[in-house]
Amino acid sequence: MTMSQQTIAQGFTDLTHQSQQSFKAIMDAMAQPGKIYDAPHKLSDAGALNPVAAMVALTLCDAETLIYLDDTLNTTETRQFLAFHTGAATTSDPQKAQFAFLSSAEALEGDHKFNMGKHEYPDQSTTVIVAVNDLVNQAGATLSGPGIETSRAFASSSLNQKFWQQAEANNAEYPLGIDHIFVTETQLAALPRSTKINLDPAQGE
Amino acid sequence: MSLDQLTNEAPAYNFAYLDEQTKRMIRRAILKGIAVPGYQVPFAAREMPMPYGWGTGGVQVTASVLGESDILKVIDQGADDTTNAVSIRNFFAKTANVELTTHTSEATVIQTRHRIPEEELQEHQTLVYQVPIPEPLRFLEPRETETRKMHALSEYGLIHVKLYEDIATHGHIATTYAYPVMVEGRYVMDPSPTPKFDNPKMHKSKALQLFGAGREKRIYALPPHTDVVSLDFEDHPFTIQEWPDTQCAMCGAEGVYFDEVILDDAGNNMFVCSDSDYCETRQSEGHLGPLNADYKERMQ
Repeated sequence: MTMSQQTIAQGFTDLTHQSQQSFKAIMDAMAQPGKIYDAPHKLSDAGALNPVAAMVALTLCDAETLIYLDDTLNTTETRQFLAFHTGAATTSDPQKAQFAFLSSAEALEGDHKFNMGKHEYPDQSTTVIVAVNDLVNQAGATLSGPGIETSRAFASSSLNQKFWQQAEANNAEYPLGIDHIFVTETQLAALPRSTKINLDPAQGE
Repeated sequence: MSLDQLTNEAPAYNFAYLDEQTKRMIRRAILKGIAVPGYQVPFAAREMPMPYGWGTGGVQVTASVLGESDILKVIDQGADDTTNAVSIRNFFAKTANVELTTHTSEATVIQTRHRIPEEELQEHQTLVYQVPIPEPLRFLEPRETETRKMHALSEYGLIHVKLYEDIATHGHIATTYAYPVMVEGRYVMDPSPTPKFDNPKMHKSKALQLFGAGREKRIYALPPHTDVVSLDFEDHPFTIQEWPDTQCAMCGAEGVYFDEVILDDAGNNMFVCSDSDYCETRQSEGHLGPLNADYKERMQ
């Protein structure tokens, strides 16, 4: 066995303020679904996580949370990075995870795989952080509901019809459901369970 | 470092007093609250260096969202200069060293004990409420297990009975503060004990609204542009307090929320704006009420 001399990439250089700035962006994104925010901090070389997903992980995860990683992200480097900076343990059971980091939206297609919360405690659900190639406020899905004045066009080339059908089904279970945070290499946007989704192209802009 | 230095230096706090792990726990609860507007998220509220009832819930929420570039305003019943507001403002001045203001329009974070400023809030602002009893059904049903079920099932008959009993006893809905609201047609929420005068301002507010209850260990939220409807009946619609033919004795404002001030033991009184910043801004713009010291001078 050779001793691995692998180094773990740097996290926040100023934990207090950088995690506050990161949280502010995540909070604003969650409060205004579909609105696209520039990530205030990008943490590179975080295993297989993209730099903004790594920012979200270090802002929200710690020893009190369980993290689910999909197969692409579940590498030794990712797990070491998360363990070192957050102290969070990983789980292979999507129902037990407070946070799930996904390399694509494919894991969300189909049945409700992640924890939707309970009727008495809808907050005990999984928050999924999904890496996407891009985020645009153009024709695609038309979002409405809390946080959106009238409606907001929202799309990503990484989010296909199957994903949007799942997202509609997720919203139909409200107040149960998962909350999504989409992350590109530089930006983020959120889609909480409360957001209504209209896929009718006539309604798009 | 000598012992003398150690004992004379002020203790160092983490930014905004709370440790980072606590902030993360509160931040996670805030995100859930935003995702399910009006639902009360349990959180592990910490003991704060002030007693329960002084806004420990609001202080913890503020401490978790506040950044070094934020500008903080704290109000107690609309006023910037009353005990609770001053002590909380001083607390954050000491522990977070953030810029402070009394002007509503300048603030990015406003912590409030029960009132919403008269001036309309904007999208970049966050309003943090101090909440004593977050559960609107608590005085109707003391068991948490039962109120949880009632929220889960959206079973809100009891609260309508309460409002109906008001009408049966008083001829009108006599609830004047902590007036229950329905959020996005799903959750009945306690708007904190704000006067019902402020309920309409919560509806589709541009600002993010966060609610923290420290003793009861609950956080809930209203994202911007959220439907917040005060409960009522078709034949007894919701109304807010009115003060017909009344103007502020200091700034002459009408149609705002007033405080009544007793002037002597002969029963004379005056009404002044509850929102001290709104009143002072109006006075500085030249609006004067009849009891303002400059009023007579102006009239001559």
